[in-house]
Amino acid sequence: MDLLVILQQVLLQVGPGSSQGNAWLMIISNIIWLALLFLFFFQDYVMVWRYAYMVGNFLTGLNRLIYNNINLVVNHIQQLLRSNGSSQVIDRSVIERRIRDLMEFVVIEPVSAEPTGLMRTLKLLVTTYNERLEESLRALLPSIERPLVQNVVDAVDGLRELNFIYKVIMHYYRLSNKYKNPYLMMQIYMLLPILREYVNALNGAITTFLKGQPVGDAAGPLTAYRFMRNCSSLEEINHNIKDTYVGLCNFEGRRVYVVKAKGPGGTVGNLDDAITYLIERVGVRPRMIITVDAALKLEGEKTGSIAEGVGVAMGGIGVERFNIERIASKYGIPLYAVLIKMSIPEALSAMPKEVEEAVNEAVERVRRVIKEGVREGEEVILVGVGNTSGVAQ
Amino acid sequence: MSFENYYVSTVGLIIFIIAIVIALVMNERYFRFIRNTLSQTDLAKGRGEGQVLSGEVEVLICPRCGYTKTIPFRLGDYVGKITNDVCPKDGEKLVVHAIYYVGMTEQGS
Repeated sequence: MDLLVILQQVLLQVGPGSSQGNAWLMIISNIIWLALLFLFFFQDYVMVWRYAYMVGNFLTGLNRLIYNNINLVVNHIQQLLRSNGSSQVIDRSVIERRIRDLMEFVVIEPVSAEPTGLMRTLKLLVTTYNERLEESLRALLPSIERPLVQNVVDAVDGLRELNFIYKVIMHYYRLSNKYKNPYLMMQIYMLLPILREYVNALNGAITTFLKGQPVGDAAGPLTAYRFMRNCSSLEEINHNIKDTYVGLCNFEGRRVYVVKAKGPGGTVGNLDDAITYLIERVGVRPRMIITVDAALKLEGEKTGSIAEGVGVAMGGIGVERFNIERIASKYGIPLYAVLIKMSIPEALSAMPKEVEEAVNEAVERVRRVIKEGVREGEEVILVGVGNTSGVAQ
Repeated sequence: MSFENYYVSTVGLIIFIIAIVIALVMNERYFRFIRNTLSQTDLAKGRGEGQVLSGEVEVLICPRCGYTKTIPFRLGDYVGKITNDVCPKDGEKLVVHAIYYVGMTEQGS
């Protein structure tokens, strides 16, 4: 008997009298069951194929997003030059090349094995990075107002962040394929939902910065602005600290120094330098330092909810917070914080209505804290922390 | 072919097809689409009909009398800017009081 026929009879456990149609149905059925069994033993590989597919899709989408945002920034720069009536004709490819160069700009972390003076070094690096970025774009936009250039700087900073995420994910994706290591791919896959949320937030931030609108992170500066509008005898204090506004106003007999980044261009200012200037140069002896900032909410917390506490409400790499803490501890000044809760997408994209409403509540809290903790005739420093894009003073 | 074999094959095939359909439906993209559709339906029910205000808006305020006006966001405006719009009550120039986005925001449950 033919070998195939024997195999068929063994597989199907049927005799020679069975009909041919039923026999083929049984063969197909057995093949399906064998395939399921095969998948059961090799499910790891199947999962890795799926992970690779998902990560690959994410990378393709991110690449497209970066490309679109580069076009957006380039178009915006060209529009700024045209609207300014600039006679300078810059080739589109030149602008694009400059933007791509800035996207590859790196900040090398200082050596942390010897921590003495680390914060000063970090501050120097951050300042140098911001200045270099602005100078490069200033060269493209020589006759444009500074706030508009600052908005482009923030947008390019967002692009640089997107590019960095793309490169890191691509690195691990290729590494996983190169060494046939499923666990690298699995780790990226597990991070995808968080990365996707962050990427979408950055995407929204680039558009918002280019438009010069306030982002959610501007809640701190907006609180400072609204507080000042409710004060009397408001005056600006002259100083030479870059991108920072310091005002003095009278709130029910208390002298309130209001510090915020100088708007409406997108910048976070040098708030620590302003506080050091007020305390060590002007001789202000505040009863307390109140910081107001946007804080990331936990899942389950409501956007726009407000929390109070002690300490310095300030994000970032911690340089400015360290400097404020140091000067406050040196002079024994209590630190008070007001936090406005929001998610990462809300902090980076156009300010949502809930946050805008929470700012009014934050102003009321600040007024209450000052009335409770500072007597008439005493001084207090109020700091509006955050990117002041779209918020003047 | 016996009835048992035929029965097992048919049921096996049906289960296999159903598993593939479930895998297709429940993958992330479709799941997100279904969730968004359901949440939009809920939001629309919550808001009620005829109460649709969305997009980027700015609030202008009269510094003298407190009159406010909400308009769509205009490029170049910022909080604190004195605009050319005038207050219909006292003719004072309106100041941009707030700029924000009204739309769907994901709230923590």
